[in-house]
Amino acid sequence: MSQQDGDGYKPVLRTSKIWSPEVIEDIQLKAQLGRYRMQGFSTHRRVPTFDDLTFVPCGLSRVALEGYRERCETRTVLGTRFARKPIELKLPITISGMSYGALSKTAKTALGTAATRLGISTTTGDGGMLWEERQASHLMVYQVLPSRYGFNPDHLKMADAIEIVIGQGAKPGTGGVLLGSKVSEVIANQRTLPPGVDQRSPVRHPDFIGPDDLQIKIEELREATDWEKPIYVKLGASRVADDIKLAVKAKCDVIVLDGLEGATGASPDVLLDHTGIPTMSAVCEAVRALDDMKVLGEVQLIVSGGIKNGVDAAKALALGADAVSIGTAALIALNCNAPLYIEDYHKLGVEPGSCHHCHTGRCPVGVTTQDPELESRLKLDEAADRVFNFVQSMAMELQMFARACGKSNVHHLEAEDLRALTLEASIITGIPLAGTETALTPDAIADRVIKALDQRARKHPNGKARH
Amino acid sequence: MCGIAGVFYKGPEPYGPLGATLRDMCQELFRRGTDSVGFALYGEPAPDTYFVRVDLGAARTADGDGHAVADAAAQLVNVRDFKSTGHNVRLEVDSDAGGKLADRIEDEVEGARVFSIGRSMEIIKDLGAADDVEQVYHLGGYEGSHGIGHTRMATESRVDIAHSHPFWARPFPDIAVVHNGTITNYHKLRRRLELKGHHFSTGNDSEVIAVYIADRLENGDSMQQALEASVDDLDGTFAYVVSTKDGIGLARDQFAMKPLLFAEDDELVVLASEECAIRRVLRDPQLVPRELQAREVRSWLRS
Amino acid sequence: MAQVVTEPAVLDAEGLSIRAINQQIKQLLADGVTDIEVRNPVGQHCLAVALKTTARIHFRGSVGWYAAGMNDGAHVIIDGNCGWGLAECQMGGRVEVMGNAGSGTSVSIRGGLVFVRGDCGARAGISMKGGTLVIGGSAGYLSGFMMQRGTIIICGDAADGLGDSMYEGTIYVGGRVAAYGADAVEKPVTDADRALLRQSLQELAIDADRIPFKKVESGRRLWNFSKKEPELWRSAL
Repeated sequence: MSQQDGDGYKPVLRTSKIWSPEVIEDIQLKAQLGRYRMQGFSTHRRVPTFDDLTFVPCGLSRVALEGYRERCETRTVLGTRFARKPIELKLPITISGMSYGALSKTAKTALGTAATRLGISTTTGDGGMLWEERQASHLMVYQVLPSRYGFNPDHLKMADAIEIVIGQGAKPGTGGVLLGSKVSEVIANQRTLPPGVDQRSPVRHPDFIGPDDLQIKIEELREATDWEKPIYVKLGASRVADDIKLAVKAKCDVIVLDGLEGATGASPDVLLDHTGIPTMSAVCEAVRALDDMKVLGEVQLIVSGGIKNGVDAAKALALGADAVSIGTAALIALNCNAPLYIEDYHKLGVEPGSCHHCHTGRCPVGVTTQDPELESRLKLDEAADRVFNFVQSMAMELQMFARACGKSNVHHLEAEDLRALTLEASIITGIPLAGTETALTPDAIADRVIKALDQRARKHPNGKARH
Repeated sequence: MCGIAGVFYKGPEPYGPLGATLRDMCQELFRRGTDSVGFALYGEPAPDTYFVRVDLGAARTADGDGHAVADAAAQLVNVRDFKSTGHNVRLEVDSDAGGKLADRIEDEVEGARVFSIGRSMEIIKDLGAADDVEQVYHLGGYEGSHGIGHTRMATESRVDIAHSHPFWARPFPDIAVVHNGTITNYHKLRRRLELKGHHFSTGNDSEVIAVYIADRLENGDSMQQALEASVDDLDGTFAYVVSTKDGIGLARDQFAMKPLLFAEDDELVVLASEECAIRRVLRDPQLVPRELQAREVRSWLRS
Repeated sequence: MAQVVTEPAVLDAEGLSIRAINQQIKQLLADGVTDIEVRNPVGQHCLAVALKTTARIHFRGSVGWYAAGMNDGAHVIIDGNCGWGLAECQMGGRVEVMGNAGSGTSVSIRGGLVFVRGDCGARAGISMKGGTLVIGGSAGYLSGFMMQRGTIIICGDAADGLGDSMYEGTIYVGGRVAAYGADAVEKPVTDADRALLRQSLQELAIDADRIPFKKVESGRRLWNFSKKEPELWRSAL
């Protein structure tokens, strides 16, 4: 009997898990392109995240604080180790480095405006300082990147802190990219490049190579700015323990750690999916490393990469971070993936809600474009309002969780306020699985076993086991 | 990531104030490596004599335990003399028991680690800076023909004395290495060398360089040939100095990632990661240090 | 009218920390001193960084890494060697080294002149964005890598990877080139080039006409990705 005939017989499409439609499309696209495929945004794959943890707030054993009434401090100081003028933030939230070039001028200015109202900092990016950002943003962190595009010592001296970028979470171990369609005359001029080139940034800094060199470089930056400004070292979360120890030995003030979920304006997609470790794993490894080096608290830790709300911030702080940094979340607040100008999303082959085409320069909502017409769709004041509102909501969520756990200061959140909901999360974080008492780490299990053996020995003092 | 240094006395005086010179250079390189400091010093060899340096770990003082080490050694060889300094024991023996002496000492004395065995080489290494180590080991008084030094900033392996440089190419007498950089294919290289029968004391990538060079020399390569082969076989970043009883050899990786300069006149050769270390011991403005180029190897050997 | 000759202010750096040396230099500049001589720098790092001045600072001896880094107008002379990152990210001014320089000389400079009479280590002029780098001797591995603008004049030889991935800018080489980098191509030397070389080198007491300079510029094939040149892109991407 033929499988094609029959009344109303509909064959079930069997798709291979290995050679899935996505894989087939990928290979066929590369057969045309002759190179790796590029995308913006962040990884599409699923990894262990903060969502695999839950809080255990107060009940009878501890006393909760009244929401909206009893004080919950959010003040955060960064750069106390060596800088003469540490930075004081009103919230433990910062806006991470995104370049003027990857972002439109309006987007950068809106972020700066919102940050000033919130009392937090913004960060320049791989292209140098935008004058409008410095004007708008009350606290600006100046990045020193391998490319040194737009690097200017005057801008360095105008900054409130300096961030040496070793790597970013989206693609640790590789350099930045800005495709030709976004290298406008203005951007090209700032970066000293011919307009329209597919700009590649080097992965390594040109004048230092290892952490021993980095130490001298940090000293140079301190001498250049009279030891005033905190020096951050930004790392893509990869070999976290080793890298953090070295950054500490190189005498930085603050570590910025960007996890696998970190996004970018443009990257080969295979890098987004297959390099780096998730933010939650990275925080845990980082805190252990800082503890080993005996600088926990002395060297502050900012984490980024997929931070999407205040509860992520709360969990990151509970695990030991001093602050979180948002990139994608801030862009989404600006209007990234908003359901507007839908025909333009269609032209890119996507729908709002699943657009990751920042690299094309055709952002329908004017956030990641240099096209003046598209950029005009982003209205500065409204955009700044949206970012302000979003970060306000993060702050309220963060304080809400802190109060629920009985803390009058968000920095008093602890790992003990959490429980794990999955096996991986428990092993990664060292937090017990909900409903159990023991973390699933070798040390914790060994302790339990020793305790159990002790108890058994006490029950059978002559040393003979019952079994 | 670290600082490295080396000295070679060409003559007419084949010996000089080796200990003080290397100590001062390494003190200047302290910034590059604050975790620990180490030296391989080559003094005047005595007939039928091997020098053995054993460390008992920072927790124990060597008095009393110097005897335990000497007794263990005496099971295989004749121990002519031994002396304890801090947690370090120095022995003078008449043989290395065909390469078995180090294992015997470590098997018999708990916590003992043999840092070096050589006809003229002695390895001293400890946590802290060169000036701290001077207090205990009195390097200032050490006369020698050549030597290498190192200040360590630990990258991947632990900060303890055993993982500090110089690494002895155990059990080959008189061969040691100091290295700045990270060898990125060392697991593979190590497995290859283990298959040939070599052993490793640590998980440190720099130790692989020592054993690699020793293996090449044992198989008939000249120092120059061994250095040249290493530039192709080692992957990653490196500027390293290897020392044998005859002299020293340097090599730099193909991308010139880690710094190494040397200065040479008729009487001596001095090398270091940074010029400030060279200037600490050589103030003559006519002597111009030069940076080793990418893939460049050099050696200075007696005889 | 009698000429007033002022003696330079002398600063003895022996035994001083990097911070102290720089603070004293800055104090002298703030006091209006325009000619400073620093003795015994003994290879110290990070000296004379980020100075916004037209003063002259003369180091009698070798300096370490990042000497005159982020220089903005000063005339810095070094009677000796320097380490890595000489005059990195210089905005303008003039830095002259009489000896040899380490790696990363004049990284990312935007303007002014950097002159090394001896040899430069690897990555000389990497990511340059303007200005002129003159090397009296030879240049090391990957010199001129990702150069964007400006001029590099190498009187001696150049090692592997010269001008790899250059965007724009011009490199002149007088000696042998071990190997050109990706997309670095030789172009004919014109009369205008020769005039530029003469002008640039004359004040440095180098006779440009006695050196058989070649000109190296970007082939521009790496400006935008093209699948028609797979070999080139495989090495570049």
